[in-house]
Amino acid sequence: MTYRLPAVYQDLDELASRDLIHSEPATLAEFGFRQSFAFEPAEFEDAWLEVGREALRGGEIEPEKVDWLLMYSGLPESADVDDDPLRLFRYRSSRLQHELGLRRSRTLALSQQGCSGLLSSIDLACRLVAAEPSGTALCLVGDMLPATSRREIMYSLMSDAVAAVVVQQGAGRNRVRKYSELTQPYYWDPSAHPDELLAAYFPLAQRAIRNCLASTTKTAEDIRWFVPHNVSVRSWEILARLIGIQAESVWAQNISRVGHTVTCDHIINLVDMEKAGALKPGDDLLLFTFGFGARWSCLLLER
Amino acid sequence: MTGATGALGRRLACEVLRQSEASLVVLSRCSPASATPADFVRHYLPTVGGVVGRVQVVHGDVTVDGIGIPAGLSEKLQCRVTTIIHAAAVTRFDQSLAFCRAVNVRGTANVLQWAGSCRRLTRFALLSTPYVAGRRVGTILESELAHEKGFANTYEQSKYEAEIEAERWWHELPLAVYRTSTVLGDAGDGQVDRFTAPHFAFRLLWTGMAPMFPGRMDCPIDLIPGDYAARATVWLLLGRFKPQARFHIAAGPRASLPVGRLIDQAYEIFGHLDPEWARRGYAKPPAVDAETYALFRNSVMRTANPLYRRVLEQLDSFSEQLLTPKAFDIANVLAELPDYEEQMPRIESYLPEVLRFCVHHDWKPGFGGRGAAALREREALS
Repeated sequence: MTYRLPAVYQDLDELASRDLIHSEPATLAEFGFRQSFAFEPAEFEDAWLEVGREALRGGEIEPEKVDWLLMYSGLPESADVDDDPLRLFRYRSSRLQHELGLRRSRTLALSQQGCSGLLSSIDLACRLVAAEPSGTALCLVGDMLPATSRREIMYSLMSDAVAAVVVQQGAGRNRVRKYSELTQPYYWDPSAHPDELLAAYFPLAQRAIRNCLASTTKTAEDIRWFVPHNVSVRSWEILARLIGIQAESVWAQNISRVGHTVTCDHIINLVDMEKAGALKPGDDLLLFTFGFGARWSCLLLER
Repeated sequence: MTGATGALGRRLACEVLRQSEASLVVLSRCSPASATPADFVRHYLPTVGGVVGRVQVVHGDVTVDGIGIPAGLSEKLQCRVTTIIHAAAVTRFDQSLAFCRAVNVRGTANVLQWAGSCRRLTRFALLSTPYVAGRRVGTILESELAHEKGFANTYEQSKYEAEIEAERWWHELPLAVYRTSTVLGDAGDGQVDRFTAPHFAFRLLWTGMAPMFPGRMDCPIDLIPGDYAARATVWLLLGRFKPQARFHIAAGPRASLPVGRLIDQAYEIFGHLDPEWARRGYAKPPAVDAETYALFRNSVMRTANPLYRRVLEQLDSFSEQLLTPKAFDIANVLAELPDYEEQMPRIESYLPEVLRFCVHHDWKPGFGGRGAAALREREALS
């Protein structure tokens, strides 16, 4: 696993002065946010390649051995076609396959899973590699908000990021034990139902996590770390109480530093948890996220 | 009678006229709707026919000395009146304590003082609320009043103080207190005279905007239909009057439903009312402890979301009830009306009509137009 954040970030006051947030800086600070990272377009494209190469290098995987390349973005790519419709078919996933030398791999570009895209991609990768003799999938995920977009979505401060994870049969760590999700497609248009979505978030998050645990032999007490999507600290404090866990079992240290990326939060957090020495073999980790669409997703890992 | 133009007051006035041959003197501040007996009956008692000749409207104001009746008229009335029903009150939860005290405490004191000069008085009914129990929890007996647990709002506090004021007259006047629980709507047609916190809670379920509620799923909610509350109060007052007594005109412990079952029933009813609503799959809100709810509420209040701020403020008084669960004992009522519980419509029987009324009337003008309008349109088409 690996990730890239942009080189440039802005603090809350800078964002407010440029009208890039809706809420008062003090409110977002109280919710645990401090700064937002924003890519330049060229930097964003380079970052995809960098994380792909780094993930393969770190896993000591020959590019030719990769069976599947799964690429996910939660945001649509802008269509810059000039007068040549062929430009509509310039696929980033194919470029990445080419640049990374993944000659044997089959490539799928995924979308429209909101912030659940990483967990959905990992679930799909698990199912795909299970069908191969010694299957390997490279998942690349990333998002960059348009330069003119506000950096706050439903009281979360957003950052751009790109990340990569290798999914392999028989991998020695981070074994996927369970993936589950609740979907409520009624909320397919979040701009039409923002207040209803806010109301639905907590009850369905509680239900999704309980359902996930109930489908295994694990209880909330067995989970060493709840690895969050980096929405507000306050919302995690509330959710922790709803599922009956200590707020300290949510690894929330990146919410302030990074904020919420559409897709990369869990990889960023797991990489940084590793660096911080927070992970031990055998730890049970529950990754939770909410994605527009709408879906509430859980991935249970054993370190 | 004071407060005959209020939501419960007009029902009481109807019942008095239905259950007796008495003449009714209505004390009312001057307004076009109560300028004459005919105006009053037309505006406030449209369902009772042929009673204009039995109604007298007297203009006055309970908040002033002598309840604002000119001296000569006042003396004439004090020679005639046999029964006083004091129902005038500020019942909103969001008013200042000073204003609530002026109407509810000072007003009660003025009416009691005026009643002291009524030579033929045989009954004085003070309308109150079981929520004078404030933040007490557990079983609340009708005989109980004094406590130091505090109050959820200025209405509760001022009605408590009004009852304390009435205690000063306990042995001077033929005085009884009728504490009416939360009125949900009419058991017959579901009509809601006034939308209050429980209605707003149901509205949040209907609009899919109920993220959580404080307390426990098994917290009992005491709700009573307005028509039955009025009927029972007048039965007790005119037929079984007992001075120096307090009565809970309430559902009581056996007929109060736990909040979890109320939510389940509301979801079922809304689903029947509108299959499109059911397809949305709104999640039922979980019950959370007081600290979690406070954390959520404080977070919402920090945001610039005016809609959520408003709905949470509307729910505050109901939230307090959920956090201080209590059951209103009805032993005094049962002693006088043994079949009170059997005759009381069960909430399961009238909740569907009440919720239908709420949806059709959008809870209040201008709210919830999308769902209600769609429902009306579908019903019109069918």
